[in-house]
Amino acid sequence: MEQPPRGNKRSSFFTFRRRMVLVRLLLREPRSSADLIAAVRAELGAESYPSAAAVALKHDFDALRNEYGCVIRYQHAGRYYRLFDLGELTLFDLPNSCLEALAFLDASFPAGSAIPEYAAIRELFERVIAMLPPERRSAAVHGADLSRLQLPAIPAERIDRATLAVVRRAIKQRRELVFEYLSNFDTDTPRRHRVAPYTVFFRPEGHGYLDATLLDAEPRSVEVIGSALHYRLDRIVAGSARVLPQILPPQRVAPPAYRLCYHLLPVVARRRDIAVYFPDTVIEYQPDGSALVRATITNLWQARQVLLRYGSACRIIAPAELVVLMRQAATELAALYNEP
Amino acid sequence: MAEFEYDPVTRQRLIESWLPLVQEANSEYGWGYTARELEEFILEYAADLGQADNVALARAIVWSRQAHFQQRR
Repeated sequence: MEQPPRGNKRSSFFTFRRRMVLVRLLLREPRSSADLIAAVRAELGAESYPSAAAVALKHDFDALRNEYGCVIRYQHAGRYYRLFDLGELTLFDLPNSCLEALAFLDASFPAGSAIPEYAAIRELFERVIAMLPPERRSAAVHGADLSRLQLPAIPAERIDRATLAVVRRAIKQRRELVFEYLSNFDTDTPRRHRVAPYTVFFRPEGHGYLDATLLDAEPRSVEVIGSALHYRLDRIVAGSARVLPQILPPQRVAPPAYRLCYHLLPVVARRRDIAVYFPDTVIEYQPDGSALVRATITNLWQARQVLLRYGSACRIIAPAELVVLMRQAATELAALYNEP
Repeated sequence: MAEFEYDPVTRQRLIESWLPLVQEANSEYGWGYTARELEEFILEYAADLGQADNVALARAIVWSRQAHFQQRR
């Protein structure tokens, strides 16, 4: 078979490189024909486009469309070219672990968030996805094993979206909120709570909470009116939350605050890296390797839950109310493990 | 660090609410922030954290804001 002239072969290779550079330039952003020609010449040399550069550029686009199925369109409004789809020119691929990381981004930054930096993260995700072969795109978006990333998706999914929207509206408008709630003290019948709502937040175990001040509960139970409570969002009965007309006072009613003091044994404190769980925490490491921790709390129940994780390595010194709660927990635990 | 105009009650409750999650990230990723810095972090990004719809997004917000916070240390 007759070999093509040497010059033609080099010319074909050069044309191929020029077209790849064009694709790369358009992956970054839409560009005018003049910009594209100038950028290609800057990278590959002034001779990379002939004097009739605009015609050659059009031939390049036609070739990219015909040979690779690239979708490149001229946008008349902005007078620039935009790359919409790489077609068969998807040379980029990722291992499955990276696809799972992409799926994490997709789940963590869903469309529609109002977080300012979110738009850039979402754009990054979509750009990377667009460069993958079609069969790998669906794996990144739908098929990745999110459990490997230890995402506790179940509790979050149980939060009723409409309820969350109503709660957020009440917080934003600084209005009272009423809802039916199934607390730990209720067996199967929810009770109506009227609250002053302040913050939605999440704890590491995956549950979402509303931080609110209790204004009224009907029928009444053990809750103290005026106390600051953390309501689990998934326990608010779907469809029951309503924003009330009553505007909240500018200052939140201060819940009772307690000076917390607890002693941690050397087994958890000797590395001097103990975790900080409460506001205004001050840690005093002792010569024997133990630590004395002081902080300020307003939620005795949460403090009890947090400090129970230390087991017998933690002794509460103050406040007395928390000592009572811990003593009660210890008694109940002992009863669980006592021989019958 | 910027000063934040939260009243004492709001400040206390914001920190008390978000500290467990932020502390978890501090420990998991080895950021090494002090108690005071963790409180500053929460107060600085409380508005962003408040937009999370689930704990995964809350963690992602903590993670992404940390880079910004680190630069300002």
